[in-house]
Amino acid sequence: MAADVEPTSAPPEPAPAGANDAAAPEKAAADDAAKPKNPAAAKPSASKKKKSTTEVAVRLRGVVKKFGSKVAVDDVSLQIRSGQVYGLIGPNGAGKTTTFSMMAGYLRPTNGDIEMLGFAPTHTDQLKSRVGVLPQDALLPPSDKVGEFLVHMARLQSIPAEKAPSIVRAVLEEIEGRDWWNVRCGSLSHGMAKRVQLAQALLGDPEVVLLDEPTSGLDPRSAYDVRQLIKARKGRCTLIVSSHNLQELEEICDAAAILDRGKVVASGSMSELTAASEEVHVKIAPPLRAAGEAPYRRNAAGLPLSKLRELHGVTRVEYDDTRHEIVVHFERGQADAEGIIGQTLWALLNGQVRISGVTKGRGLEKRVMDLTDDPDQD
Amino acid sequence: MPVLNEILLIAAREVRKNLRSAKGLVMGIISLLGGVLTTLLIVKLRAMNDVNLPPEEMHQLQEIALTKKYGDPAMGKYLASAPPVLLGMLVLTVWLAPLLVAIMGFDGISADLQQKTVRYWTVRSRRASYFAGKFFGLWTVVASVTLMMHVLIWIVAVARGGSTAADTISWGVRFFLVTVPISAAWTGTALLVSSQFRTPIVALLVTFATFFALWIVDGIGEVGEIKPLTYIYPNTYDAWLLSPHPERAAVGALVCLGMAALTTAAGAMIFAQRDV
Repeated sequence: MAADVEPTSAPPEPAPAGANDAAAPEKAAADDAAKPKNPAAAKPSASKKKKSTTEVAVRLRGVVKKFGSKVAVDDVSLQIRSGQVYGLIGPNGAGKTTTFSMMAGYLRPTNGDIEMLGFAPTHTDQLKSRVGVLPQDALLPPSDKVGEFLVHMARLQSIPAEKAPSIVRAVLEEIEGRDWWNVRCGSLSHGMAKRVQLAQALLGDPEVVLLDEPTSGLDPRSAYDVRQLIKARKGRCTLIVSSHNLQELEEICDAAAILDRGKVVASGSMSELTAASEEVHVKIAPPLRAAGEAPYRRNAAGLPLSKLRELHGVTRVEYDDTRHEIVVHFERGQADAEGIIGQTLWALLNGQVRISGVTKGRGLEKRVMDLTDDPDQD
Repeated sequence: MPVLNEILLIAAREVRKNLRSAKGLVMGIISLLGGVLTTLLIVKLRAMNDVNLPPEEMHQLQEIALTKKYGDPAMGKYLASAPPVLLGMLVLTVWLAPLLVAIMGFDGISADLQQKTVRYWTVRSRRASYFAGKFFGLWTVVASVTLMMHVLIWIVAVARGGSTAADTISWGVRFFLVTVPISAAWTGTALLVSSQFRTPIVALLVTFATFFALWIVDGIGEVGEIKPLTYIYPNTYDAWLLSPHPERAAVGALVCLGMAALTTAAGAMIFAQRDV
C-alpha cells in the first residue's frame, strides 16, 4: 500500500495555454509557495488532522479523460481557492460529472494530474474526513438504516466509535432528518435520500465538499432547503458544485468554470463571468397607450442614448429592440456598476422612459448560452 | 485509520448486511432445510445398513470405501472411526461450497458498482481495504452458514445416539474446520471474477462458468491422472485437510489460504486501478 501514502510529487507546471488559461488564475507562484515543497515528507497522520493551509484547495493540470475513443474531458486546468464556492457549469455532455468524478477519485484521468489538498484523489488515507463527496447518482445501500449507514461512514473516516453517533445525530439535525435514524435507506423518498447523501458528504466537517447536482430531481421546496444548507456551509469549507441550475449557481457560487464539450471555455469569479462589473442591462417598458391605440414598438430614436454615452466611464451603449433592453458598457475602475445604474436611471427617467428592470451584468444563463454550442445544431 | 480497522469495519458490515438480507435469509433456510433432508437421508441409509450388517463389518466397509475415495489406507482407517453422518455432511458441504459462495457473493461488489454505492466507500477507505473487507465478510457468512448445517447434524447425531457427544463434537469441529480454508479459496475466486462486472447477473453467470471450468479441469486431471491439473480445484484439498498427518493437513490449509490470498490480492489490485 506504499503508493497510497505518497502525496503527488509532480512539480508545479505553468498553466497550459489556450482557452484554459482563464481557468488557471495568475496565482501559480503564490499557490506554489503555499504548497508543501516536499510533499513526500508530509506525515499522513499530521496532514489528516490539520486543516489545510494551502491557498489552492483543488488543482487540475491538463486533465484528459477518454472513454475508448471518446474524449470526455480535454485538457482541463483549474485552480480552486480554499474557502470558495466554485461552480462547474455546462450543458449535458460537457464533462462536468466526469471532471467531478476525477476530483473525487472515482475515475482516473487518462492524462494530466489532479491535486486535492495537495494529494492525488486516490490517496484516500490522506483525504478521508478532509474531502466530502455527494455523488450524483450513487444509490444509498437500501437495507441499511440511515443511522447505521452514517455511523459506518463516520467510523471509516476515523471518527471514534463513541463520538460517531453524536456526530451523525448533529449532521442529521442539520439536514432536518433527526427522525430518520431507524428508517431504511431503501424506503427514503428522493428528497430524503438526497439529504442523507448530503449528510454523509458533510460528515466530519470536511475541508473540501464536492456536490454533484445537489438539487437535481428535488421539488422547489426541497431544492431551496438544500441550497440553504449549502449556503450555511459557505466560508467553513471549499465547496465545489456541479449543476445545470444556473440561477442556483449564480446565487451560491463565488466563482465558476464553464465547460463545453470537455473543455473549459471560461472561468473566473462570478462577476467576471457575468460581466457584472462591466455592464448594466436596463429593460425598457413600452409607454402607456390610450385604449384602441396601435401597439407601440420602441426604437432607439426615442431613447436618450447619447446622454448615456456621455456618462463618466461609459464606453459603449447599445439598444436591443427585440429584447427592449439598453446595455451600458463601462470601464471597470473608472466607474462602478451601482454608480452607472443610478446615473442611467436618472437619465432615462428624465427622458420619460418607463423602466421594467435593471440587472448588473448579462446573467450567467446568457453567458453560458453565448459560450456553449447548441448540440442540436451540430 | 489502520488498514486492519478499515477491513474489519467493512467485513462486519458485510456480515450484517448478508445475514439480514432476503438473500441471506433464504440461503440460511435453504441450507438448514438441505441439512435436515441430508441428515434424514443419511440416517435412513445408515438404519438400513444397520439392519443388514454387523458394526464391525460396517466399519470395515467404510474403511475400504474411504481408502478408495482418498487413495490412502491410513486415511481410510482414520476416517472409518468418524460418525458416518458427520462425514456425509462434510462431503456435502465441501461439494456445495462453490455453489454457496457464488450465490452469496456474486453481487457483493458488482451490485455496488452497478448502483455506484461503492462511491461512498472509495472516498473513505482504501480500495484494497474495501475489497479485503468484502472477502472476509463473505467468507465469514459462508463459514457461518456451513457451521449451521454442521451443528444441525451434530444435534441429530447425538440425539440418535449413534455417537457420543464428545465424539460428535470432536469430529464435527474437525470436519467443519476442513471446510473453512476451502470456502476461503472459493470466496477469493468468486470475488475476483464477480468484481469484474457491473451487472450482478452477468457476474453470477461468469462466476458459475469459472467454477464449472475449474471442475472440468479437475475432472480431466482425475481421469487423465494429470495430478497438477487437480491442484487448481480447491475441493481437491479436502483430502489433505482431513489427513491424520498434521503436516499434510497444514499444507492443504496453506494452499487453500494461499489461493484465497492470491485471488483477493489480484482482485484488490484490479479494483484499485479501475474506474468506479
